[in-house]
Amino acid sequence: MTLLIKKLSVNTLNAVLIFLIMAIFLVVSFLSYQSLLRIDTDEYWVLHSYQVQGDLDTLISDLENMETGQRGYVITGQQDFLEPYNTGLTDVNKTFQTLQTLTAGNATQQQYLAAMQPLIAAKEADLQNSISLRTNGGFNVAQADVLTDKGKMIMDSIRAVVASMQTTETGLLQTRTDDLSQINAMTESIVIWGSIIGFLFAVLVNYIIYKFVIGEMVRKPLLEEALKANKEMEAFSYSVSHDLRAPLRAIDGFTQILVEDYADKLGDEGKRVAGVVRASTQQMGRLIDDLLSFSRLGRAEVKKTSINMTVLANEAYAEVKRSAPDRNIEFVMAALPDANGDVDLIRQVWANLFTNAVKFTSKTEKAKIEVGSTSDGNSVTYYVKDNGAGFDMQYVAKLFGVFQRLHSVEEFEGTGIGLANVKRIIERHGGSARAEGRVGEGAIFYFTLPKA
Amino acid sequence: MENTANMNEVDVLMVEDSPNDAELIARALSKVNIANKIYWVKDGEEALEFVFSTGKYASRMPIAPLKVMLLDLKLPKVNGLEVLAKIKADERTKTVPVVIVTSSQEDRDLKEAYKLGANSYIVKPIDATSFVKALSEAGLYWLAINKPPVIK
Repeated sequence: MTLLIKKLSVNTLNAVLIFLIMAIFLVVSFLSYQSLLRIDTDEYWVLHSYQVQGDLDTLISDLENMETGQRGYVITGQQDFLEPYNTGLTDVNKTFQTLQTLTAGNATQQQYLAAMQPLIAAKEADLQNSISLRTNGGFNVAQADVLTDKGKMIMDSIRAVVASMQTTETGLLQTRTDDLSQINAMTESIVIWGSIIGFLFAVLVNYIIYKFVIGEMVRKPLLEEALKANKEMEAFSYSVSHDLRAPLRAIDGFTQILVEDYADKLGDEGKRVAGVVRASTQQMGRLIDDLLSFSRLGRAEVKKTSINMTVLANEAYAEVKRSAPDRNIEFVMAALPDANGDVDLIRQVWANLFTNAVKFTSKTEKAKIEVGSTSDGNSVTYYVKDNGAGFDMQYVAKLFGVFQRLHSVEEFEGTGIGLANVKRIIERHGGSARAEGRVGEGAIFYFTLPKA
Repeated sequence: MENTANMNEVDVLMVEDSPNDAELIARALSKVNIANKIYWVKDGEEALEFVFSTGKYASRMPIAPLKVMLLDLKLPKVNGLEVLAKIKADERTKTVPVVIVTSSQEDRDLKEAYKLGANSYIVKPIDATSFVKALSEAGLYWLAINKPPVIK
């Protein structure tokens, strides 16, 4: 997962996430706004329906007022009792107009109103007729007309139409309320999920920033410092190689001139002393060379390719053996699996290990050097085994140290850099090196490398 | 160390800033009997003046071209690689064999020297015996075995 993040490049990923967060924010805002608009509309239409229903009730009560007026007048014959009739008459028409306007968009309601119009006209005519009869014919004539029940029948028809209109309006109300609850539920989901997802993305962005960007900000100056130190080291080593060796060469060279040109004046003892001076200078020269190559290893580029280890090990051994042609050594090597690494550096590893094996078996009667390997999972372990002087395991930790030796220069020559080089090279390949030994019985040196 | 050779009859030009190293080189070459034809200059500027017969050496009129130039890299005024570049770039001097004699084992110096046309590269060892052996063998090779290019 970490590798994937690194691959996609932290900046790209962050940019994408931030874009997504903004997108989520915009989408949620937009959808919420849409919902608000729909709610507004629904509420408007709900109020509208309530108004229609109310007006329908008003229509009935207007007609009932007219009936009350007419009844009062028929009974009493007094003009005052006609008041509710007169008000009702004006109101009915007004209410009917309002209903027509309000239901203008609804075909069904319009049809009902169209059916209602003649009925209302009939009712008005009937009531007017009853009043005229009372005014002109007197009580008995009016009463006879009322007993025909015509008025009641018309009123019942009107009530039936109003009831239908009420039902229609209730249906509309239900649709609106259903829509409202649907919108409510949807908006709730959008806001909740949008917030959760947006929040998770935000957390992810913060995590990435914290882990990679801030990490980079801290690492960058440290890296620059390390590179700077490395460059200074390079300049230092270059100067060391040139400036330290020149005087050493002079010491060695001019001591030799003494030996050559003033041999008779020096005598044997003088020559021996000169020999010590020369030997010391040369040892110092070797130390400088080894230190220089060791430091160069740290800076060297590791160019990894697939390496035929069998061929490489044989080449390295042949080279080492060339500088000890008189030695009789039994060399046994099993076929080695290929490895992944820098050919030149790994050659140095073999060369160092063989140089040691050859050197430390110099006092062994039947010197034998064995090379082999074991493999597991994703790495291979190679080893060089010898039956030479060996070493005491209690000093094993010192073995790979720089210039660390377990013998004196007189016993076995060398500077103690060979194994330090091996360790450095192997570690730069991501592997490890170790050793086992027994005094007088020999030693085995192992190094692991990742598989090819 | 004094220059005893006639500047018009020089076979070997030794460009070396260290008098100690110069003495050791000369001694090595004397072992193969070519000391009398060596001329020693101490810096890059003098080396160029000698080769092109300018400045201090304006009066130099060589009978024959140099058989070999032993050139150190770390030199005052004009460094070895610059001298090498100038010599190999000039029609009159580019056939002169140049042997780099230096303490530097750095890859970049090695690469650059050959790129500029050095004929050989010797690293000065600390051990005097090896040093003498290397220089005397080189001297013998370039002066006795190697055939220089035909002049004119």
